[in-house]
Amino acid sequence: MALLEVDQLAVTLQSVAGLVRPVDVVSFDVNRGEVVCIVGESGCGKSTTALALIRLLDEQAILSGSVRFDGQDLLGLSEARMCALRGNRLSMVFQEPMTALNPVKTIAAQVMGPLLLHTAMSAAEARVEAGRLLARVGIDQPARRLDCYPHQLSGGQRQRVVIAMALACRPDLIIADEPTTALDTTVQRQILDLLLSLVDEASIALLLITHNLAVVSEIADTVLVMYGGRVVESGPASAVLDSPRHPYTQGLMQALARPGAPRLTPIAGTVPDLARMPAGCAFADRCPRVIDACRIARPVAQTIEPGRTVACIRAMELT
Amino acid sequence: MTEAGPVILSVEDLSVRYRMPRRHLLEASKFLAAVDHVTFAVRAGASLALVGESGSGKSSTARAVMALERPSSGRVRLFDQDLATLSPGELRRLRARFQMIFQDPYGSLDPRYTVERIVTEPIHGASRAERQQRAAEALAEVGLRAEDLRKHPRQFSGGQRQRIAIARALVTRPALIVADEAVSALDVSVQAQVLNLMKDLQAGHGIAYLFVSHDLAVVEYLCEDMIVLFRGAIVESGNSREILREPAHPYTRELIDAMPRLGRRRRVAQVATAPSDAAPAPGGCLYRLRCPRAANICQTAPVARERSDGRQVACHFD
Repeated sequence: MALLEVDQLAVTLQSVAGLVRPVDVVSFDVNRGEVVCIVGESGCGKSTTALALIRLLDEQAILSGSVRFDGQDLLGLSEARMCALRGNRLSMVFQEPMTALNPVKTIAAQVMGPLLLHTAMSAAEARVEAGRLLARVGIDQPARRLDCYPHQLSGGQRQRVVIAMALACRPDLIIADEPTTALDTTVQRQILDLLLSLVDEASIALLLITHNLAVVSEIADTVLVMYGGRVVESGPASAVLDSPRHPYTQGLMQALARPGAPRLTPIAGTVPDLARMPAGCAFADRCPRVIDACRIARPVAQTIEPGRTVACIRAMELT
Repeated sequence: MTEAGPVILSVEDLSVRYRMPRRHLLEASKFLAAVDHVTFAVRAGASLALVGESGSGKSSTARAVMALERPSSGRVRLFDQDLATLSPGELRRLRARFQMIFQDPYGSLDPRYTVERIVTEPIHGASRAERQQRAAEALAEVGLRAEDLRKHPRQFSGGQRQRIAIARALVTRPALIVADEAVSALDVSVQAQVLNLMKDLQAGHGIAYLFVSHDLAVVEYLCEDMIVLFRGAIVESGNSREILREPAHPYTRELIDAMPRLGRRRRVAQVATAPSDAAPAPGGCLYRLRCPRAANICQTAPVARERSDGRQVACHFD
């Protein structure tokens, strides 16, 4: 049994334009010690999927399907039981560390927070543990940093503090939504290495949401490519990125600026409006390989190789 | 090709210093040198990238070039005129020849204005009909339609908004466009559209770019030459492709190694402590606290030397 089993998850929201489905039936597993990346462009539903898993979406959002975490169905849990899990066995790291940290509380108070909430530690014990956690995430002079406020730290150090908080209660799963997007390239490298080392050392599972295909290529075991609220392609990261089979994944790879490219190939058109999703394939209007049949029904994910799916009716003929 | 055009922008020994907040009233003011004695030139039709991490001074340099920041010392000469000596009126007239594109296409377009008002804003002294005509032409150049003139920014996607920002920059037929992280916030597929557009405009109109970016792949695609800045000073400059293939300064190497890359699988054994972000004591190489090659000689500031291939490197070990 996988640590996290997401089965037919869908999110429906009420908007001014009527009901929209930013996540339209997504299924995947995350195993212990595995790095799973969800990749896609703005509005593809990747962040909404992450927030739905941990039940941090607006109360108006209607969730369907099931999310099983270590056998427990998260969608059926009471808010109190969910709170007991969040920041404990299941923790989160977001894009902008400054908004995740409380500006008027010391680093010690913030890192001690989850320890005092979820464990039986005394304040003195929690403070010692907080220092240990800061050292673990590579902050130099951790004892001195404990009494700092967030504004006294650099962006990279703040993100390390957020990761220390996420680690505090020895989680089984960390969900990280664009954790390095706001950081410099050199700091991004350090934070990615840190997350990877935690996965290796403690067999933590990491679900990483990113728009950066190069990051996926470097750290993911498994990748899910999302478009229009659906998973269009999934499988081992190296296989998917080396030989993408869905026209959208292929388009993304061709659009990437890379050394020696004489000219980039953008994907024509724009993402479909959630309120006016087509009946057939969501990518049909932009797809260079579209045929009439693409517009009739929504393509079902087909398994083209063990562990590899493509939601394109032409998956078998196109390589 | 870059050698052919005349120099249109010349930055000479530019420094920009900011006053640091004082801890108490009687304390002497301290200054932070955001840009520290930077010199470079851009020729007509050329493209030069400024790269570096936050705090490297790349945006401050771009802002000084746009006359949005006053140099503490040194000069910015645009079309042979020293920006500091121009009256506000002269500066306004000169602005038609150099325009800026910012990072955030959501924040840089006023949501209350129509596209027409946004795009025609830099035009002075023309009739309404003429302004409309020029705005429609600029929109056509970036792949938007004349009827889009009546719309508001909210009716466009992120990539389209950045096109509107580019149309506004183009409408006065500038010789130089300063682009500060102009494609960083865009999705990959849209980024490709905007980069291709910028390249086409350069080929078609001979526009020169001063392109501020942290993305080395994008820099290599768009810019023939690049300058690497660290803590306000130039550590390396020269041909982009050659620098990226074979960096000479250890900081350039660090930047290149840090760049995530397709097809490079990464596994790490242990957590490294964050490198120091403390400012080194003045006098030596600014990179020495982070440099893997630092030695005693680095207590003395290295002087930039020009190599036979035209590359400049400020490192004792080059």
